[in-house]
Amino acid sequence: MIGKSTIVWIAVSCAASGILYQTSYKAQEQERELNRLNRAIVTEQEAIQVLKAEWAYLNDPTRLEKLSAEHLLLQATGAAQIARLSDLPEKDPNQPPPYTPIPGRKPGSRAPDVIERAPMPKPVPPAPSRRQPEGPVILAKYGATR
Amino acid sequence: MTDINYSLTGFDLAGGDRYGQGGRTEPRIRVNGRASTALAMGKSRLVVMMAAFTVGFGAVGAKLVDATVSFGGAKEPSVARAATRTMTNSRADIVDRNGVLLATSLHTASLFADPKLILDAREAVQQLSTVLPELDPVTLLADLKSDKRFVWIKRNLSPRQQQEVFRLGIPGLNFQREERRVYPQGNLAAHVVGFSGVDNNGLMGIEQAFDTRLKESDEPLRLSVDVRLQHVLRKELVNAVDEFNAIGAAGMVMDVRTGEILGMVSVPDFDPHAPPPPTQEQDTDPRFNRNTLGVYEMGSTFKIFNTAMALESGKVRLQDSFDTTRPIKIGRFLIKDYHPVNHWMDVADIFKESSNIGSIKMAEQVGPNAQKEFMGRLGLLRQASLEVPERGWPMIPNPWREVNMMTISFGHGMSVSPAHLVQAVGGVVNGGIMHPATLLKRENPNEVPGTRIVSEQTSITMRKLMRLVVTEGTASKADVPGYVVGGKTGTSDKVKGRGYVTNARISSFAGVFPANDPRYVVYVLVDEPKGNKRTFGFATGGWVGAPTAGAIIAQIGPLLGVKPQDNNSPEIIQAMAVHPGAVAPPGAQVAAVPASLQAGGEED
Repeated sequence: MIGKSTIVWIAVSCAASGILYQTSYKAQEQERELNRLNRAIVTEQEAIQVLKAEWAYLNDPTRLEKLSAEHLLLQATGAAQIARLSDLPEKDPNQPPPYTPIPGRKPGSRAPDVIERAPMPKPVPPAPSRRQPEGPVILAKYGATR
Repeated sequence: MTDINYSLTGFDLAGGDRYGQGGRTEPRIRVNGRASTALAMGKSRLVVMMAAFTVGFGAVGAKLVDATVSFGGAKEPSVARAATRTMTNSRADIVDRNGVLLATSLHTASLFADPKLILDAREAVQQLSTVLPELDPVTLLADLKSDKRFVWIKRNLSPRQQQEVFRLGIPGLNFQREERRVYPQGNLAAHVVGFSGVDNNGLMGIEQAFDTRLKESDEPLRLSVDVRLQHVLRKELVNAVDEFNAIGAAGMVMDVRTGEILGMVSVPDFDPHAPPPPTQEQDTDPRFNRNTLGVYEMGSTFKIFNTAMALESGKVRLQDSFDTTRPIKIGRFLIKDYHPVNHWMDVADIFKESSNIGSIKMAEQVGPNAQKEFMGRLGLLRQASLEVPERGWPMIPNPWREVNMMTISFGHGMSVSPAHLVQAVGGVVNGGIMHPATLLKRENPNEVPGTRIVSEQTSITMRKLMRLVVTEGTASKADVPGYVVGGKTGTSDKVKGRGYVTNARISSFAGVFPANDPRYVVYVLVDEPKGNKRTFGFATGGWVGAPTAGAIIAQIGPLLGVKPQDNNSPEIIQAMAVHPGAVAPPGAQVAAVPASLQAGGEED
């Protein structure tokens, strides 16, 4: 006759194989997911490589120079424009702030109000529309031949 | 014996009649009898059979578990596979010193068709030409109607084109993944980087020299060149070629403290995506790298080495004067000066006026053997140390006679490449320590190999002399406000065939800036320039090479972060004076300069 222990063993082995196969299928699924992710990573890396190449291509100095000549008023930096912080004269902390005349007042006349110095410039108004520039007009020639 | 039939194994298989014969005296199976041996044998056979079956079923079971649990028999962990799978068998990138991409590998898709599977070739062609308008419809239609099983339609599509072809959904079309080398900077560094062929083998430049390194390692290869400097060099060289109607030009920038080549441009150049076939005539070959492969008689720029050699030998002092009034006859040649003067000149004047006669007189003090030895020390007698495979061998006289010594003293009768010259000039101005030129970025700038070629004192004197050439001599057009430029011009007639050709010359300029604290050597060589109206018909180094180098320095100075200085400040003038205190530069308040400053040869 089949003993009790035999039944127990059979049950145990059935459970074990059940768990084993479930784990195995799960692992297979994970493997597939890993493969999918790997493929996605490779695709992304290739896309990054393409973008890097495009970035380098678009940053070609020859092209940048042409674009800057067309769209900007900037020129190449000259040696005279470069100064170091140490080249600036040392500021004396005891020295009073530089005298800034108030427009429309004679020097020496008493300031009417609490104003001792020229007021700070007001916040810049929103940029005027392009059609009617208010300030001094800068005549810029874009697209200078280069 | 009994009459009962035993089976072969000795068992009583029928076995039934034992019970029916209870009174039998003789047992059916005796302990010691023939049947007992048969029984033992049967038992052992049974054991063997069972063992065989156990092993068999065990193996099947084990294999079954193995197949279901660890599928595919994967020995390595999958995570490790993931890492190796990412960018397999792709060639490593080449980047410039700031990490800007110079060459990279892109995976592209190439479109091919299986004509057997194409349902309607005419419609397919019509649809394809909407996406790829550059295809020729006639040949494509013929291809798609042919009997072949494989037809290339277009190689190396861009990702966008591939997506559009995908969306057409034409059956029979398929993509083949291919790797393609891309050079985003195009012509800018064509001669340095080189190019590689369709099978991804490097065929020129760094691509060829580091072929295995690029294939085996994924790390980008970092060069010493700077794309911005390449651009400035190329722009100015192209300008010079256009202006002087030259056949080519070459330019280099080197960091004298590390030997790194920051820029190397040879004009004309080529598109590395579609390299031209090599041609016999090297003068017009776009693939010809004048900087490394071309060897030229350098002309007066060699006087830098001649003067340094004479001063270094101790046989000539800076104050020594030489008779330069009479031409020297060598064989059938008469050596004259370009700007003849009829008085004796000292070493500084000889260098400033670029006197051939004076240079010969100075070399005569040293002798041919010492000259050859000195040239060897400068590395001018062997191949340049650069990494590219295109390196020319210098052409040196053998034997090195008195005549050769005379011509070499002013840069004729011996040909070296610009790369040689730049490295040696860098050594002469860099306190006498010469670092081997390299195209790779130095990993550790503090540990750069170097050899002493001249003494520190000679180096300082040479810098002053080179500055003198710019302030008062032939290279005045190389001066740039803010960057104290020193240098030497060179003009030499080209050798073609067996003799010199008039009106085909090499005009060059070897410069250094800042001359009081040398950081960079700039070299410009223009091949066969023709004089024009602006230069009054001159096409010498002073009219062609020097202004080009000046324009280059003015643009690369800010890029390299060189601190601008006032060229006319008393400190600079005093530091660069060849005879401190003796020379009073015009318009400078030297009298106001304290004596301590006069003594110091160099500032900061």
